[in-house]
Amino acid sequence: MIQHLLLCLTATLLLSSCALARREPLPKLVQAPGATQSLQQCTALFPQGRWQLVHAIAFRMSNGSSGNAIGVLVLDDLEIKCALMTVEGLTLFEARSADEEDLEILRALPPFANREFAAGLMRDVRTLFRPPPGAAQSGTLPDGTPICRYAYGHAVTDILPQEDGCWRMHTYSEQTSLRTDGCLPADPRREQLKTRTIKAQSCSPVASAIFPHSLELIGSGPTGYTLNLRLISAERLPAR
Amino acid sequence: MTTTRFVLCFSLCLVLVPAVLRGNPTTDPSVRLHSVQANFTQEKHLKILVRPLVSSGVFAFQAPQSLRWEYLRPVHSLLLMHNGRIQKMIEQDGRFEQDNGAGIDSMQIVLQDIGNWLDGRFTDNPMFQVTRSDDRTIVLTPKEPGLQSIISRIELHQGQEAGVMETVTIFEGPDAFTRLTFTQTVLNREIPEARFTGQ
Repeated sequence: MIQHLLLCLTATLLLSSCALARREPLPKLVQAPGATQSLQQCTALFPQGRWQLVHAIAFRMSNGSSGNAIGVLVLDDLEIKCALMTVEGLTLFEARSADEEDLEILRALPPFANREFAAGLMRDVRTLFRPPPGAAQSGTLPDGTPICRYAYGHAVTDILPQEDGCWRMHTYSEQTSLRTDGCLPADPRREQLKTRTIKAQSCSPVASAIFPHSLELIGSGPTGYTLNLRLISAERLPAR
Repeated sequence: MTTTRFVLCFSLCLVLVPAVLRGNPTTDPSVRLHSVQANFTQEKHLKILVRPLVSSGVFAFQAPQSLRWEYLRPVHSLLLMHNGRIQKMIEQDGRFEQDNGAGIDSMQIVLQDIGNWLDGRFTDNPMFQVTRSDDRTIVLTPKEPGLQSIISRIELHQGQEAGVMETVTIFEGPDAFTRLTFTQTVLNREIPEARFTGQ
């Protein structure tokens, strides 16, 4: 009896671990009229010009560890500068980046002192606060939800504008697809699978831009993580 | 490990404030303090920041080792130390949640070492070199290179009134520092234990 229970428990754990790694495939885009207007609406969701943003950040890793930090972001026309600090104000990480290839780490304490973390953080920041790069199309999902789709190399970003002025976003990248139970198939193949889901809530205008007061970013997969950002301040900076 | 040390260093800086306020009992018993309460404003300066990040809160200390350090804005958080126990909490969705981040266990160990500081014996501290740049300014410089990479120095500036701290500035490096300015300081008023236990 005990052996049977252990067997069931092991099978459940194996299945659930596979299911955790399962990622959603890229849905089909259905072309729709009024495409140009929708794309403008999507681009307008991201702040233009120079801004200083401060967020309270709560993070949770897939291994159960969690923590809190203050995030400071300076958005410029050319580059992004960001800092992570403890709630008490001491700096854990500080960096600037103009694009994917340009990254300068100004200060980093372990476990943040590695280039992979810095590149990942800057990638998340760009996803949250910059219009996606690449060729843009607009249309709907098969269920009729309007979207803007941006394709850049093997990466795809879908923006789903919401009726309340906020938005959802899904990012996809090319990866090995898994079986429906989440486990690796005998003949693995590559396809575009969801990597991150972002939910913007309580959006309201600040100066000439609209900012979400709450952002939730969920990274998919076994090394997944969740970031919750609460906007503390958004300040328009004078043009250079 | 460094995050642990980081949290630990900051807790030491917090403890420094009442420690300095207590003065040196062997030379100046008149400024020896039993308790201190004050409001504080914290300005965070970073090279990338166009404007400093301003936080504010209240703190209370009572001898021998009870501390309440509370940020009221922009993020409501609370650090409590009492009878060797440390709790860190942060407000999420209107209620306090325990923050069990790295460093809490180490902070409890370090608390045992700060007795000297709380008695005003700065020179006994193994972590910092202590100098006075003038009559009212104490400069603490980390002795250990690892600590220097996190905090380059701490300046404690005493106010006109004996035993009252005016500012504490924690320098992290070039163009990066945190300045705490204290106001409405109340000395030697008995503080209920509940203030330090979160009960």
